[in-house]
Amino acid sequence: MKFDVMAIVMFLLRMGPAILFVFFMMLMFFSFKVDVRENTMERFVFELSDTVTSDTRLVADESVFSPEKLTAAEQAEIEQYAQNCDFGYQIDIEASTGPTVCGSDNDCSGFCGNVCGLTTLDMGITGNCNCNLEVFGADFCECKKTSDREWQDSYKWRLGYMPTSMFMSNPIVETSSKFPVGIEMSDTALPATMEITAYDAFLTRISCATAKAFHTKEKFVMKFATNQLPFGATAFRRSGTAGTHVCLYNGNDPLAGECRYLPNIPVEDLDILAGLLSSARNSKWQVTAYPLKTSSACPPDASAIAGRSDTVSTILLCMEDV
Amino acid sequence: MNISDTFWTLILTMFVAAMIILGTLIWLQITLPFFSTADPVSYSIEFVHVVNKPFMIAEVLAHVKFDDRTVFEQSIETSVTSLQNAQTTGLPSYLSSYLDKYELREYEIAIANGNNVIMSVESTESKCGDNLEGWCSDSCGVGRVQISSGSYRCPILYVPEGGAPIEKDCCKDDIPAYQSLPNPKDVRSCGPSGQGVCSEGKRPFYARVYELIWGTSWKYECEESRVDLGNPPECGPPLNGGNTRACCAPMTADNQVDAGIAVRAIVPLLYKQSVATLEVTAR
Repeated sequence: MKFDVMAIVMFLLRMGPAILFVFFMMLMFFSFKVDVRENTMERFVFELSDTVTSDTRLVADESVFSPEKLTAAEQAEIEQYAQNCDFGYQIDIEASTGPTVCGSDNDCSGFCGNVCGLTTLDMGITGNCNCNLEVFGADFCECKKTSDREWQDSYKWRLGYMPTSMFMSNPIVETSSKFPVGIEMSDTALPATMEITAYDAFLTRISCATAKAFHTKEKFVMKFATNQLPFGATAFRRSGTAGTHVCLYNGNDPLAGECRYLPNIPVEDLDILAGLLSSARNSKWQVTAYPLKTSSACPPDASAIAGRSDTVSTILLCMEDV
Repeated sequence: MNISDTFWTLILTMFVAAMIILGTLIWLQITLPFFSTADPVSYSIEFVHVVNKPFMIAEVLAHVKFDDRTVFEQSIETSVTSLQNAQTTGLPSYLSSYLDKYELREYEIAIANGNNVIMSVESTESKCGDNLEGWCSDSCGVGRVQISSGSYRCPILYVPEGGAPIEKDCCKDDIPAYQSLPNPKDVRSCGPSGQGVCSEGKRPFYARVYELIWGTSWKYECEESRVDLGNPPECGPPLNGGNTRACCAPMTADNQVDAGIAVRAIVPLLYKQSVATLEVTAR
């Protein structure tokens, strides 16, 4: 074949525009980016604030909380009032007023009754109602709602789900917002702040996958990494005899804070530790929630899985490596 | 070796080299902060945030009692008569101290009868001057003049060794006073209703280099305590040699609501034929 320089130059000249066009199209393609921000958790927090501040089981008037109702709600489970399957949440309500000045313990009896809801007062630093002595500044009243709680010097309530194991392994995602509210006090309202923190954690995901599988009669898959599992969690199962909650367990003991209100959904126990040990080197896992009409072991027979017209008898959770 | 093989090898090499160069440029553009504002073709969807704070404050105020009368009762009486006749002269300071406890970034509460504002209180956190007529800012920019902090001082920026503390500037929106300063920049109104002025704004030291390289303009942000209305064309060159491209408006409640950075809840105050409003603006 003869080497024809002119032919090559001509070819390049002809190809040049085509190559440039390809480059231009590539530049356009790589420069195009789609940015969608759904802000689902933030929106949930704002929507929840509307729900909570208008729930007459908590408020005396719109956005004005009743201390008695909040104290009662502290003993209950806040998700009975409002629940989002995907996210757990915690509500902190605290009055923005300063501490109550006192001269002696006896000056604090009214404060302790109102703020901590105490009917039996045990005065002093070893009791549940105290006038805290300050080296600098004025002494102020403080009280304990229960003996295992910390001292508080203002109206303060904490309701809801908080993964206490977050200190050891972080929740997958969390977000929070503060809202201006009031606390009913005789015939007026004290200024207060309500902070809602939403959690997207291992427990919220597995409990939600369970609930979705039960209600939709379809299998749901939840993926997670080993480091997203709360420290010490070895099992997931229904708690107690009342059975209104599902919890993460460490052996026979539920992990503190790792329980969620999920009544009337039958679910088989999931042995997380056995799953982890089945493939110790693996770090990525998935749990599949199967709606069953008849009992079966993992992986379930197709004949055992509930169809659209079947009644779901239980939810089977199967853990496998990815 | 066939000449055709050489030729196509050359073509392929050129193609691969061009791909590597192109890829490197795109990577630089995406990764480095300097290039990342180059604004490649993009499509962005962000759902609007739900903003409910002003409405919640209005709901709480409906329940608040002050001097044996609720805030709403005092507001209605004020709107029908006046602060003096309704004996509600203490209402502004009470509302101010009440709302300060919420630690909001900005707030304003006003009782208005049509366009007539009967009473108004606002947050003082970023304000300064004897009569709270100024705003604390890192620099004043065009259309504002520096005034004495007076009794409401600005935060201290730093304390030089052996010297007096250096505070933020106290800036007052005053175009005539600005124009009387030595060597003022040309003042031009901007914004949808002309509420802003074209100002220098804030920009990093490499903004000029960026503009020279990429041929596009840097996004200039307003000085502190001003409402940013973007970089409209009327603020671009030739005005002040292209050095005042940020359109900045005074940090009033109206301007913040217009710019979409604050929300206003309006509560009607009805008494016989009188229709007034209690307006709560917050962010």
